[in-house]
Amino acid sequence: MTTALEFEAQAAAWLVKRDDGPLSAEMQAEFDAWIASDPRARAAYLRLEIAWKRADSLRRLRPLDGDVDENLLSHSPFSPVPMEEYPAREETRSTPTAVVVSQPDLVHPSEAPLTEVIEANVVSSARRGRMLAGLAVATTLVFAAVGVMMWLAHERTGWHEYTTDFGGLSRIVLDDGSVINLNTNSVIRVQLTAELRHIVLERGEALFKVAHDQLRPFDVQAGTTVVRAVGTEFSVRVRDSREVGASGLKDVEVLVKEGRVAIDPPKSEKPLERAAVLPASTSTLSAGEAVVINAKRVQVQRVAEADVDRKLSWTEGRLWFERQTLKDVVAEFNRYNRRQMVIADPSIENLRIGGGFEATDPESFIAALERTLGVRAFPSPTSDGDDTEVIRLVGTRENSN
Amino acid sequence: MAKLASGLPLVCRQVFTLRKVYGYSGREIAGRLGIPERAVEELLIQAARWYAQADDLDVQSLGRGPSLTKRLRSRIADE
Repeated sequence: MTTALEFEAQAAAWLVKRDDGPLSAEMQAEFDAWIASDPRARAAYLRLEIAWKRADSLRRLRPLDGDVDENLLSHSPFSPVPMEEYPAREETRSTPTAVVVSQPDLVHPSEAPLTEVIEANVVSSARRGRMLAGLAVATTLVFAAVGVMMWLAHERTGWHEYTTDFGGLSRIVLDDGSVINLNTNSVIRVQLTAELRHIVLERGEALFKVAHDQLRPFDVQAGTTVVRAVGTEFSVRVRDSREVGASGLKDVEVLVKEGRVAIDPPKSEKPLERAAVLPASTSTLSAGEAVVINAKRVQVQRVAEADVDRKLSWTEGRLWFERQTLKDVVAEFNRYNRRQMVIADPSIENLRIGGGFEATDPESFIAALERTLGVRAFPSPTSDGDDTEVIRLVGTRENSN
Repeated sequence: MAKLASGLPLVCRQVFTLRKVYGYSGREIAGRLGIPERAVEELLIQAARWYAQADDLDVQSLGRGPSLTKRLRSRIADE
């Protein structure tokens, strides 16, 4: 039994080998076999690779003449900086109008503000307080610049936007023959060019059945993640991060039903190369695999075929559950219905639910709950006092222990 | 993280800096520091594992300060 640490050690060894130049054919084959051998191997590799790529941005510190600065070598950057030295980001939020100040040079959005960061740090320690504030502002600017870039990109011609409302389900056939099923409460933008089929999933969930076209990759961007396919079927869901403290970031889930896709994980410095041939190995997912990408980690899972169908049953307007907690089931129903359910009784949160329901018919679901699990439902006004109401669910004595 | 970083030997930090800041190949690093290539590889492996762990912590501390890369960068700029 290989332990997590052993996987990490193996992954690090491969990462360093691959980082030093192309592998020989035999080595490449060995690597491919290793990474395919166990989802934990792949997960360990992805984690290290993401971090390692992120460190590439340190390249910008290289002196222009390219000579190695001995001073920099002996005082390397590893000495830890205590967190307390930095202001909490909440404080920086008070400067929201800094937003468009930064140059909207769209080509390298991530590069320009970095200069400001470095400059902000060269000042003497006497001005450290102000410098840190400046640094914080610069951080805000990085996000702002990316926001501006994305907004302007969408202003360009050739983008089509499709949306669905609560409980909506939409089937879109693109000019290339690809079919998109758009789930409830979702927004998607599409741009087809001669070289690329570019999709941005702004919100919600979609299933893509991609028409085969070797020369024109099909890229789905969700948050900062890009999923690339040539001809395959897969679903992508994006939502606001549920991780504590990661507000503003997006969690992305990808499930492959058929074929293979390549994943460009968040925050890597380089976007996927514009080559229609997928890179042989690393960040690819095959049929029956799912990946969850959030601020903390990239997690690859195997999904049984029956579960793939169950997870995609929304394409027929149905929700299938199998031993899921009431909490998760309620959250799922709430995606499809304006009339929200709230669990007002923590003791019933973990009741296990199974079965199939119409996504837009929570009433039947509630009736089943009342009948079989002794849960009681009470409509009540929302706290904001408008005329919408929520359905509060509480337990009865039999199930509250 | 502090413990982790201070446990990292100087030569390991140097190897990391030569790779990530200067883009040296394994052979070039070995030549520069006068150590075998195999040793460079081992040191890079150590650095990669350290960096990933620091990066995990960094992501968890989101909202509490600039990212790890920025802190490293500011550290270098300071020195």
